[in-house]
Amino acid sequence: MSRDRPSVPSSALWVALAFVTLAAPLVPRAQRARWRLQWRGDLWHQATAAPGGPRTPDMLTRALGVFPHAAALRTRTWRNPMLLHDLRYALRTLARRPGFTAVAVLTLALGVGANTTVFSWIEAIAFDPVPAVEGDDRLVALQFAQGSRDNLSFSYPNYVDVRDARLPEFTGVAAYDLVALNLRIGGEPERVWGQIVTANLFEVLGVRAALGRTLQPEDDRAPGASPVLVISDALWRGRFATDPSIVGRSLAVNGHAFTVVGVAPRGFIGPMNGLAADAWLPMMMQSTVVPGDRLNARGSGWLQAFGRLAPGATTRQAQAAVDVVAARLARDHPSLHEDRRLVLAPMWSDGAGGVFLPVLGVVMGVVAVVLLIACANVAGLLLARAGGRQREIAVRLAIGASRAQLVRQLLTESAVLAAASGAAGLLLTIWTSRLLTAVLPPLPFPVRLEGTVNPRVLLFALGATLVTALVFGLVPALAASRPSLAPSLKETAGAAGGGRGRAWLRKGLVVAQVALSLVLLVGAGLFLRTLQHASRIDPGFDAREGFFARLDLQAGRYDGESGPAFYRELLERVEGVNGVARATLGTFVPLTLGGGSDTSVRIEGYERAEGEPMTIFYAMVAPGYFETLGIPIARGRGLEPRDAGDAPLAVVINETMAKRYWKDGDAVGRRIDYGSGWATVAGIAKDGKYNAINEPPVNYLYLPLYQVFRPDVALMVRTTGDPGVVFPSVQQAVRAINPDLAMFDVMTIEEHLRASVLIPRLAAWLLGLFGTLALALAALGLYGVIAYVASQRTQEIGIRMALGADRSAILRLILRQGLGLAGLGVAVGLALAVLVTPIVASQLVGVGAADMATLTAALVVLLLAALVATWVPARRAASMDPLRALRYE
Amino acid sequence: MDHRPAPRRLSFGAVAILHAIASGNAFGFDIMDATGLTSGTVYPALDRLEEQGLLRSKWEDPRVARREGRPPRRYFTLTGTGVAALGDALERHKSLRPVDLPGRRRPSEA
Repeated sequence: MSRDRPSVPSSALWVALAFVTLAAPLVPRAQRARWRLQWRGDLWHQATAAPGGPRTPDMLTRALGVFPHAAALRTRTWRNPMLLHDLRYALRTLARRPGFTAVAVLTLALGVGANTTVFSWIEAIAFDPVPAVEGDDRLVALQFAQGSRDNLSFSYPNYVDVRDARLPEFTGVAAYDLVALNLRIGGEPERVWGQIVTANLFEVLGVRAALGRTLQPEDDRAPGASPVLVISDALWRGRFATDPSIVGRSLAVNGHAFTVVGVAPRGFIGPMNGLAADAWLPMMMQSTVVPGDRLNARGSGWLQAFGRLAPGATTRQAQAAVDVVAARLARDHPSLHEDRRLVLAPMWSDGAGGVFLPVLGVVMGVVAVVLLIACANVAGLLLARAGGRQREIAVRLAIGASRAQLVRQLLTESAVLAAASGAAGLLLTIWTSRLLTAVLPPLPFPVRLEGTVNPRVLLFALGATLVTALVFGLVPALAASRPSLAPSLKETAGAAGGGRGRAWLRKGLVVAQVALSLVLLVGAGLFLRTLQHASRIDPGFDAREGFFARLDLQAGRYDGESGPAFYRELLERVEGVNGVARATLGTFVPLTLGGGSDTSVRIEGYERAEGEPMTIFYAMVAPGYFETLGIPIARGRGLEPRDAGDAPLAVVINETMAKRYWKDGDAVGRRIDYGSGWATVAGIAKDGKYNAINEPPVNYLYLPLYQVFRPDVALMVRTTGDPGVVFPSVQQAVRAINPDLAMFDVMTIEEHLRASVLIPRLAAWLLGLFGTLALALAALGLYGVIAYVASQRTQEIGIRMALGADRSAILRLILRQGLGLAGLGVAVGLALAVLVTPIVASQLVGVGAADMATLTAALVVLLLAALVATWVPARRAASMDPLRALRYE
Repeated sequence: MDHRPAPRRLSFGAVAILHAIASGNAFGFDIMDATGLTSGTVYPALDRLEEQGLLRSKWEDPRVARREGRPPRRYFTLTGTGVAALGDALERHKSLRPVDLPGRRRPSEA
């Protein structure tokens, strides 16, 4: 099978081949292998021979021929003429009611398509966490955990300890960090995402170079000894026009000459799930590329580590092995590792998957509910139609058809409907699976997430379709094949409505639809409220007009003395620009997605409790930081120009930290050690939000940038008018002092704040979309039932009118029935919602899972939809001519 | 496989398919392109014509296919009977004399 695959399979070819697989069981066994081979050969030819690749619609219409072909082969050696008969009969019946068929297929296709699409997103993250790497299911991320916090990073010495333990459960352990690089290719400096990696990374992943070589253990021999890099296929194509002489060429990376030694294979984006890197540099070049010597600092975590499980090793064995290493670290370095555990985690948890998968999990549940509603809807349609076919079924039973035969006939119809819906849903998925990245706002990370239609996704669609066929087909088939013979044959209008059992079933289905769609509406409402709340939460700074941009001074060009001097000049120039109110620098902009860094601290006079973590989030900031962002200083002072050079170290802390570690909360003048010796608390700033808009109050530490130099900072500018107008002049001012200095990730403060509510926005958008779909389906279902019931009661209505009932009484009669059903559905739905919504409670902000306002709003929307869906048939019933109604049969 | 006698008259579709194969279109999709018929018509018809002894099918050498990294293809040629049947059919169609159609010139005058 595998050698039959094309080297670059297009989605269309996959779908076409899936059709072949779907139709194959129809072909007589003796001919099947030949038949399959013939179609594969021809489809293949079509996919590869057409100039510029095949057009998807062409490919698919042609591939649809497998079904009639298979059916034709089957008919000639037919052993079971009934099944063929069933199939023909089903096709004919469906073709005779094109409206019904279209609505049913569309409804189910939306359900199947939505499920398959969301699954394709989840599949891309969870089942293919590291694209273009063979056997990525044997890769596991290694993370430190402490207390309630997990996903803590590795320091290089930690990594070396794990690596040198040479655990037999792993064939290798590697580590990396995502960094922004300043690449000079030709004239302009260009920003590229790269990874600093241990030189064994490619070996552990099992990735070979497409051109030249990958990094090798020799590249990690001594710090600074091996200025080489491997570039991505995408960069090679995009920036070097697939120049074959790229290997050996010298590039300036952050101002230092590096030699390209190889090009990675196509599709390889590095080990980080969903985040694409374009260059890989050896670990030993760390201090050339990013500031500071991080190779010897055991306390500073900055690396993501992972390992490949040895053949035969289980994750449980591997976990036991790393437990031993963690225990050794705790013994050797008690101050840092006393309570730290080492845990294995899935590869996706270190990348974009860790952010998106929880949301997608919720969305998967939601689309499953939408599919259920769609099934209930179509089951209702089938039941209604079965009512109309009562006489046909009774005749067939009377002339000797068995109940099993009838059930099979009705199931065949369902199967044909399901197959058509599955195919349509799959078509939908081909287009929608690529939409995930399209709904994301601009992010300061190279996110690359895309679902594809691959065999696993196809299998899922097939499974979803089968389950769908059973769910919506079986119940009505069983119900419809049990008519009471005599009245049906006599064709009295009342009896043609079917037994009580069926009427009950249809109503039950409608109640279920209303209930489920209410749950979805409540979910959508909760996330809308979250979004509303989140955008109202005070982020702790009041600057709203201005922009943020990241700068990179290129490590190594500046040191602790020339760096601050440069920063001073930069801020002076920027503040001189017309329209700039205030400007500052900092290593971290509050509410940047991905979170900030933390550091271990000692606090003078504070007794650390046994096992208490003493890590605190921090940012290094320039003078004017608090003034620029508008963060009030509660006590003492902010950081000032005098906090520079050899002046005594000063820090600012936030109120939460002051209250946490000093009984009276008055920390000004007290001392903290964050790794650079004792520093004095100069002031206390008001609390804010740092890593996420919905975080509880956290401890925070501001360190003086002019005393602890870092070259990777963000420029934060507060403007007096439209930041878009001011930005070009600021850019000019920056270029004037250093033309090499690239500004990137430019975002207005407004855009930045909007991006910080990405997750609730995504959830509200998706849930709102599917909630609306569910509501429409449920309303359609209700309409169908009421219209049907009203038509069944035509005679009764005629009698009532003849006996003096006026139109409003009839209207009320029908409305009461419809709204009664809706009311029951709402009651069940409310109970369900209260049961189900706590699942998403952790993702809500400022609103409880049982929020009265949301429940009420969902209820009102649903009842309004129900009213409309009932009103239409009720009006029709009430405006009937009583004479005709009486004569109606 | 039973070899049923060829029917006296071939359908237009069958003639078109035989004609396409005689003109050098040996694979399913090529035949579809040449005749404009859908895959649901062409494939069952090919099987039927082969059964009637008008066509013969052969599989491409699997080694060639494997070398090119794709599955082998099945291709069709006319049998002697097929050639005769196609000849008869074309002869019969030729007997349709050109007629004047409103708004069209006769092919011979084109």
